[in-house]
This record gives sequence, structure tokens and C-alpha cells, in this order.
Amino acid sequence: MIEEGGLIMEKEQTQGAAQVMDAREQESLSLIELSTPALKVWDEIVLVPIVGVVDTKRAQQIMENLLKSIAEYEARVAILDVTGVPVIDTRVAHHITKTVTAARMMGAEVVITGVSPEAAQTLTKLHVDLSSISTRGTLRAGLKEAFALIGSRVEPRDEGVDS
Amino acid sequence: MNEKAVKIEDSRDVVRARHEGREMARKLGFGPADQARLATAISELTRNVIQYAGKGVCVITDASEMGIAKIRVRVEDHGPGIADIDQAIEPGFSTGNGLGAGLPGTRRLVHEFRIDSKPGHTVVSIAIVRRRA
Amino acid sequence: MKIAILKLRDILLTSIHVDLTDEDALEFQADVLEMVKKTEAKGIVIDITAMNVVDSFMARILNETASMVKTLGAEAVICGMRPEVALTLVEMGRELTGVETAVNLEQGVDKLRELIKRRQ
Repeated sequence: MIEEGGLIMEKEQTQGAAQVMDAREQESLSLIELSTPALKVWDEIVLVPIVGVVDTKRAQQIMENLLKSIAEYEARVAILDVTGVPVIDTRVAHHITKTVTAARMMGAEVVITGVSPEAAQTLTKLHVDLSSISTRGTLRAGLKEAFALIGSRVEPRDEGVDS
Repeated sequence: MNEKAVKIEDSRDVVRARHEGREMARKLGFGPADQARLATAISELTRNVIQYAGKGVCVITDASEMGIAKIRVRVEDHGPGIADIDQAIEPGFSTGNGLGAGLPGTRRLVHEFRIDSKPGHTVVSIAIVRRRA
Repeated sequence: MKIAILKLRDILLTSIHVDLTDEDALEFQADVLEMVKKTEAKGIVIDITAMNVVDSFMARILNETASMVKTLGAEAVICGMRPEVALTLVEMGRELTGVETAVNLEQGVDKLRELIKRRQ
């Protein structure tokens, strides 16, 4: 009898846990969709800012989004800004590399911006080679690079100091 | 249960099989990426059939259950079989004129992948799965 | 299935608009090379916007065709690869390497012109 009761309880608990998991999964699903927009910032330039932790599933989503936006906006350059990503590990770096390769086959270049000093250290220590990929420290530098790639330039209206 | 069987005898059947796979994926609400993955996987497997066994069959089944959409594909032939399966799914393995990257590549495209092979009978089963919203 | 290859001044344009069998793909490759030689074209743009499946065989054909065209002294640009196709090829480990690419036909022609200019 006691055993039976125990079993039932365990079953109920398991169901409860499953429901919680479902709710969390739903939540993370909607977060995924919300947090990876692709913005057209200029003719032939799209920007994908990533904010938050990137797991494999999310990385895949971001990758698909970025490639889709290249086709949709007929972009020649895609900027992938990782300023808001706390940790870039080997897995994330691997996804970035794959995205860059896929984008190149589509005819677009990817510029990675916002790599933090910590991330640079980690990647180098993990022997992740991003040397064939165009990276810039800041989004601002990345934009400048993107304009250079499409053959445009942004200049201050006043002559003088080069920004 | 919705099921399509395509006889694999020449390269036109490869085109037919991958088309059927893509169509079923589209109808079941799989996105363009999954449609392309499934069609490509079917293309690789059915080409292997023609190349190594001459002929065979490709059966595409809607195996959806409550809450998930699922497509199972079974590619079967009566050719010589795969001597060393572990080796065949190692990246870089190839037996015929440089095309053999088919199997390890295909495996990475799908959610389920299984090979049963003995001389005279080979079955490769794959599946893609999608959680319904 | 015959794929038309059009001559436009000194370049060639072609678009793969149907699902090709392996034999069709090989025939297409031979036709491209034949046309490049016959017309003495300086380059070719191969549009694959309509292709929703590029498997390892087709990827190899595209790769090879581009490098064969180069060997003939002309340039080749492949344009319009769909995102899902690019993704699938990368996942399979069958990337096109050393092939010039462009997002659409317009950019493809621009890129080809650039490559031709660089060669001269």
C-alpha cells in the first residue's frame, strides 16, 4: 500500500515537473524568436545583434535567421554583433564559423563585431581559429568595414577630423 | 497513415524520391531548412542505391504523433551490403569515385539515422522530427 | 532536360531552373565548357536561385564547373544560392570552396565584370 502510494506520488511529481519544463520551453522559444532580429541598416547591409546566452538550439536559429535575411534583403554584408553574448565557447564559435561559410556561398561576407577581450582570450586558448573571418572590436568599426565592403564610405559633414 | 514508395532504378528516381520527401515535409509544416535537409538526405541515400546496388526502394512515411511531426524514410536495397558500417559513417570514408561522403554527411542532416546491412540486404532508416506549436 | 546558356556580349548567363538528374548535371557541365570555348566568353554567371536541393553530387559538379571554366581562361560566378541550401551543404561538410558567389543575378554580373577586369 505504502509503495503504491509512493509510486502514485512520484508519478504526479513527474507530471508536474514535465509541465514546468514545457512552460519553460515555451518561454525560451518565444525569447528565441524575440531576441534575434535581422535589421536592414543600409542597402545591402544587415545587422544581427545577439543578446544573451547562446546554446546550440539558439545558435542554429540565429544562423538560419541571418542567412534568411541575407537572401531576403539581397545583402552583401551581414554584421553579427556579439557584444551582448556573455560567453563565447567552442560550440558557439563553431556555429559562427559555419554561418560565415554558408553566407559566403550565398555571396555575402560576415563581419563579427563586439568580441570582448575575455572572449578573444578564451577563443585563442581553445585554439579556435577565426583568422579567416573578419572581426572588429566594436559595432562602429564593423559598420565602417561593412561600408568599405560594399564600396561606400561614411564621412563627417565637416572637413577635418576623421571619425 | 500517409506513405509514398518510390522505386529506385535510375537517376530520375533519385529526383522523384527527393521531391516526394520535400513535399511531405512541406505539407507537415517543416520549414525550408528541414525540407532541404530531408530532400538532400534522400538524394544521397538513393544515389548510393543506384551506385552500389543498382536498384532498390525508398519509402517515405508520415510517422507523426501527438504533438510532433515526424517523417521516416527507409531506403532499402539487395546489393552487396556495407562491410564495415562503423567505417562507412566515419567522416571522410569513401569507396566509390569520391562520392562516398554521402553517409557521414547525411547523418548530420537528420534527427535519426540507422543502418542495418548484411550481404544482399541493406536498410538505411532516417527521420526528421518537429515539435508542433 | 536542356539548360539554356545565353550569350550577352562577352559573357554568358545561365539559370538552372529545374531539378537535374545526375546525367543532366553532367550534360550541363559539358555544355557550359563547350559554350565558353565556342563563344570565347570572358566569363559566365550560373544562377541557382531556383535550386532547392544541392546534394554532394551537384555541389561537386558546381565546384568542378567553376574551376574548369577558370582553366579555360574565363571567370565563373555562382549566384542565388538559397539559405537552406547553403546551410545543408555546410552541415554535410560539402562547402563550395574557391568559387566566386553572389546573392543575385545583378550582383553576379557585377562581380563577374570585376573579376574579368582584374584578369586583364
